[in-house]
Amino acid sequence: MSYQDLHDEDEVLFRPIYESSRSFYIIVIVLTAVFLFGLGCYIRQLFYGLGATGMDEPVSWAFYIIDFVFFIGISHAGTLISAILRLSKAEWRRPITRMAEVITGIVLAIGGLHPVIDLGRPDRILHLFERGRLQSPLLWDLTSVTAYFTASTIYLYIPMIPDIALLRDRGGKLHNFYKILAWGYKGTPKQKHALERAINILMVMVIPIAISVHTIIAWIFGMTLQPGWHSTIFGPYFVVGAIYSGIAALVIVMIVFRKVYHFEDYLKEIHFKYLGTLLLVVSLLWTYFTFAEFLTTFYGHEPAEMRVFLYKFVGPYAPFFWLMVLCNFLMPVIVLSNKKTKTIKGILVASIGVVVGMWLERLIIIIPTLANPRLPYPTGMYTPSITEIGIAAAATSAFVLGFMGFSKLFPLISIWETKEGREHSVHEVSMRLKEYLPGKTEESRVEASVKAEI
Amino acid sequence: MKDRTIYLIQLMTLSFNWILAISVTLWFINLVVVANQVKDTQTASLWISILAITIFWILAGVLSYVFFSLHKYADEVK
Amino acid sequence: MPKYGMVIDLNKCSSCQACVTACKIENNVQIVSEYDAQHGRAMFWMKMLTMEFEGDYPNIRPKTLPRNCMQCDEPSCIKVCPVRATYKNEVGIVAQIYPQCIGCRYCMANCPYTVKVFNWDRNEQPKEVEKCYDPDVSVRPKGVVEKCTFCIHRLQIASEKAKAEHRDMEPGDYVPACVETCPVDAISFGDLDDKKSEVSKESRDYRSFALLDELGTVPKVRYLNAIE
Repeated sequence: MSYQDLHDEDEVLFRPIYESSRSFYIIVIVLTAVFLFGLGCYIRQLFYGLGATGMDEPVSWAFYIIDFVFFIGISHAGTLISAILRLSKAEWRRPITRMAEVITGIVLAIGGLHPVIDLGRPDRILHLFERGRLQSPLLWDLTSVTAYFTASTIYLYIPMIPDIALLRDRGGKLHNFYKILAWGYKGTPKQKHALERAINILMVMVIPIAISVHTIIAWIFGMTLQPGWHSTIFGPYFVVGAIYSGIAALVIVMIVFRKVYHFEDYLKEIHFKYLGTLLLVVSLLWTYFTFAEFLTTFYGHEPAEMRVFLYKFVGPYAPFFWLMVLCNFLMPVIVLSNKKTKTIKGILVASIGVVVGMWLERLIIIIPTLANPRLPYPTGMYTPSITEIGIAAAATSAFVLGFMGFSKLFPLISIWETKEGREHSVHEVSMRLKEYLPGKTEESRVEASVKAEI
Repeated sequence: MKDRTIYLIQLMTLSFNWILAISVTLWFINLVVVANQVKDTQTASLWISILAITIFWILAGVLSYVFFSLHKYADEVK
Repeated sequence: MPKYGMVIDLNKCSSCQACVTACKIENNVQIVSEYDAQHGRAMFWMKMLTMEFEGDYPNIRPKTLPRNCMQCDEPSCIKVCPVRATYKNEVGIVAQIYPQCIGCRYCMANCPYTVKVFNWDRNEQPKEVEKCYDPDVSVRPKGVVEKCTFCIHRLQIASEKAKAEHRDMEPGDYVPACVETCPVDAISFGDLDDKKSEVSKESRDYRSFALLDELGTVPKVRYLNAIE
């Protein structure tokens, strides 16, 4: 039986798994080429040492660490947002959660590799296991990223089991693969109950783990004594920034795949409007944190801090700084608070701006501090080398490739949750709404009497 | 494929998570032992280890719970 | 156990940079390529810092300061090292284990004095330089962090020698290369805990100050302020 004979209500969601267009293969080839170029750059760097990068004496951390913080930040798109939406029973989450969780998984794997790329001696990485010193924030980071990766892959996988079971029942070439992954799920009430229970436990667990991950990344900088880094608000500041860039990346991915796979019927304008509002709120929150951080620095006027401050505001990094303010504050707030511009296109533009702006924010946090040591050293402008740019391009293409690969194996929109929403939630939500209102509903009266009988 | 082989492969994939949890545990125990040997950051090592080990074990536990309850209730009549 | 420290008298220092050269030769510090030197990757364990300029051009008088590792009592580099590659030994010297360093450069990012240097490239020295290597100091491979160790190999040699001669170590037995080389005796070195030693007396002098004292790193390298 071929898939064309099957007619599911949500057939559109299954289609990408069975059909690939010619342009899909072209994109895969191009991205693989970019990825291989980056791999070549890395092998060259392994051979020649970190001299192949543009880093130098005071600026000893640069592109790789920026990308590391940036990618891990994007990873907060997923699991955190999907967990919060699930926890708050937001019904519009249904078509969004899966994509958000996939982004998390892929980006975490890529971001987590960046510190290894940054190591001068990656061959000695096992020393971390043998002689590690747990007081170092780098080890906290290794632990929390591993924990987050484990938690978010489990959190991606468990809600996907019913969908895998659907795919298994449809047969096809990968029948055995789906049979293995479906874990014998048949949709019996007790199985459903076990699944829901696990999702609830994970949903609660994932939120603190996700927050801890970015807090600890912020602490890598916050725990040092350096001007511009040694700040108490860095933990929450980074978490807000991470959620900010995460939502933006999620919106971009959603819009692109909606267009490519024709999900218009599932991802409606209302979803983007809600996400746009969320983006606007987080944008203002981010601006508040940034303002608080810089105002205290400026008011305190400590010489070492001021050198970094001026380097950002009027010095060599001023173009990047003001571009960041434009991308992260002015542009999203103007676009998203205006009804005329808050269309899907407008939200896409704002989101691209935010992703660029958040990358610039990481750049602005990391480099100016290193470029302005406390003692008077000659400082230079940091320029990345082709190796660093190549590896960053490879990381980005690895992300897109990973996402495309995923879309060929599993549905990008949770099918069972869509069905559940259609079949049960409409009723449930209207009941819930009635419960919020004054007076007793008929059903709750019935329920109460049933309970009383028991 | 036979159901038996599929079950074994499934058990194997599940065991990866346990291998991860156990190796994280061993790793942290090793770090605490090293910290004790060189008399350096003992308490910090201990507390961080306890926290991390718990998280990994809970995660592995949740996954195993799902696995075994799905298999247990698979034959139940709808 | 002694606690080794150093006091640099800025009144005596003539900024001749003999200590810089001596240090570089003594410790086999890599001589980097011209390209790297231009791109801020020159490696110095002892470095002459220009703190400020006095007067107007052409009558300027730069105020300089020789800066090696401060050998802090509360070192911020040790706290952040994930693999215990840097540690404080029993005589208070902050030492580095090169074969254990994974090259994450966190210690470089956290040193407020920016004293750590990184081997960005493979160590390829001219034949002439390779002939003059100090056999007592290991040559560092690419990708590890290194820094001033108060010439710890000299301490090892001196203590072995004293042991062989069945005597305790005497104050003059162990001095780092920069102290030995300084033509104007601006650098004094010795046991800070020994109240009678020159270095201990100087460190309590009214002119004495430490770099970035306010950070609480408690440097064991102190300076005597230059007074006209």
